[in-house]
Amino acid sequence: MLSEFEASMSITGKTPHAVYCICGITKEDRHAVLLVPKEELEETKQKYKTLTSIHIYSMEEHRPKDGSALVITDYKPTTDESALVITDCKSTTDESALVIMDCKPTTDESAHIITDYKPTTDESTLVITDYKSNSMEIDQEQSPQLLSKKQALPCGKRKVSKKRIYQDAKGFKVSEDTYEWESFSEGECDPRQTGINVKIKPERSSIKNSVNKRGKRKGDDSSQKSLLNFFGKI
Amino acid sequence: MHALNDELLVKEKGFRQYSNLYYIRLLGLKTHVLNTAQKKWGSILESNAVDTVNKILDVKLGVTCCIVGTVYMEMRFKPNILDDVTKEHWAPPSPPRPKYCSADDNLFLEDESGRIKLVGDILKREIRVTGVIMAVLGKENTEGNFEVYDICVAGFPYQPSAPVITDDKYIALVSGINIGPNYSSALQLQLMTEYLTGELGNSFVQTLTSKIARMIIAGNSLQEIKVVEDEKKEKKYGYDSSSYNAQPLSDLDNLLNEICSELPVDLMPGGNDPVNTFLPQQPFISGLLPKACQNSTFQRVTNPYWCEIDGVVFFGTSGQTIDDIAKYVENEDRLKLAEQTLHWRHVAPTTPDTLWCHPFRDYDPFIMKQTPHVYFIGNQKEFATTIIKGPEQQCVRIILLPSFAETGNIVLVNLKNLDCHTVSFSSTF
Repeated sequence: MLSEFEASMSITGKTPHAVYCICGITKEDRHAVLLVPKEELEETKQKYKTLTSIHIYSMEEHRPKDGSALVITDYKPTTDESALVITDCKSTTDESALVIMDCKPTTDESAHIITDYKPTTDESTLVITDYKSNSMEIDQEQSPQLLSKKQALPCGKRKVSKKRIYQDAKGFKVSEDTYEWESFSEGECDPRQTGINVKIKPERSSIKNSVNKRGKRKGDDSSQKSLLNFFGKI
Repeated sequence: MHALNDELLVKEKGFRQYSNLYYIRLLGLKTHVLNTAQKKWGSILESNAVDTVNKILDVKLGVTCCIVGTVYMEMRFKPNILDDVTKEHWAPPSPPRPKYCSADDNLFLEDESGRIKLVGDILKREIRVTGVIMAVLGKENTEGNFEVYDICVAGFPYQPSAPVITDDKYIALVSGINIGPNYSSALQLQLMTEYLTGELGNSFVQTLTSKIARMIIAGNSLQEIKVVEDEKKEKKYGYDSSSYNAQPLSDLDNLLNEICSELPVDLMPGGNDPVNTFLPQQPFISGLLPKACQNSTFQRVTNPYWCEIDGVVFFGTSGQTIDDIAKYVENEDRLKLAEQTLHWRHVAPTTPDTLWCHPFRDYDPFIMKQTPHVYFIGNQKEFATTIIKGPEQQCVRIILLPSFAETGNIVLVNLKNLDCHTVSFSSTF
């Protein structure tokens, strides 16, 4: 896919820089996976006894100074909930398989959310490896009422969302979000309560919560400072 | 396996004296040592009417006999708590020595009745470490020392037969990821994640990586936290929470979450990780890795760790046991030391003398009850591997895992034939 992109860009004249990934066995009989910029591709190929695969790893305008630029682009933006976000796009040499990694549409509650596509060796099929159904959203709407009851009990059982990964009859890997009961003890704060609240009422309370958190932190700091002042400074 | 792993979990909170641990170790291994001694010296024992003396105190002058006890090494350079207490306060503490051994070390054999000093040239050829249970054949001389003619240890335990596996199936072993605040190998880590989840390479490479069935992380996933004293900052009493950086832990959490969606992962703690320092190290607390713990494929396990995958028994530590034994000897052949722990039938004989451990009362979980098929030790300087054969057709693959942060290597073990090779991840940037 990226090689097609590179070919199309070179036609227009603006060839961006490409970083290639080489997998193979080096002359010292070691399996290695190496990232090389396009300029060093040919000379690095000579160092390998057998090459198992060469493909474009990523493309950018100019040659990156170091590896950190390639790492940072992979971080998923978490605050942007409104758009379809394609964060990882990896190419494979078989052009007929569609490869989109980690798609996260979030506001569209009526559709199935497909989160991870993985390429398989069978080039013609599309493999869906993770899917979350929208029933999860409905459960979240009902759960605040349950949570308010639970807050009265300091210790007991709480509902926890866990992900179960298994292989179904057709051989596909399915990851399922299930709710399980888990016991917890008094005094533990439940971070998911605030998390779920934010999702149900998106705009207003998210701002409120963040302000509250800041306010709380300030309050903590002032009391902490006064306590430390008691001991004095060395 | 479950029973063996269960023994490694510390269930009681109280602490007590360590003498119990030595006593149960001696009890646990004495019969095995005597059986092996019978096989080795059977003819000598019967012909000379040499008897095995039950108590060391009963050894008579000039009579050849066979005694069993625990080795104790008296070493000048071994860290001694009494020295720490009695030394002057204004002298700066000396840096910890890399080796404890010296030319004038003394070897004693102890059991519940008493101790006796062992002398003899044969001792110099052996790897001498405190805490090993061994039988010695010899006699007491006029100075009150025991002259040793021969030594015998417990030997390899029983090994369950290896299953016949027809397809290639790989297990990935990694150690020393060492995620820290200024992490330089982030690109290598990302390459490794993509390799294991099948996002890298063409279809041939992906077929290979699809055969990886499990990943075991053998310790030191987080970098050692070094407290840097900042002169300009005013010193405050108490704990300055602003100096703590939670980013490495959340990076580790994200990394594990990503890999867990593809592979079952077993996470062992290591010397640098936020768990208890004494052995056996307990599993990570689930609150530290919230995202990863939501996956059913993620398991937090102890250090050391017994594991059975398709009938093949894996056993591994994060390296502290072998690192400590290496301080007692001059040579640095870690593969030989690992093999020797199998001969001693004990993973960590130097506990609790120089290696901290929990004072067990009823059982010693470090006694090896069975021989594993694969014995891996994490956080070593470089990759090394060998196959060791035991006296009763036991066959063990010993693997020393290099640190991923330093070398960029992971090890893949093939369950079909116990072959293993490394895969290195790097970039030319």
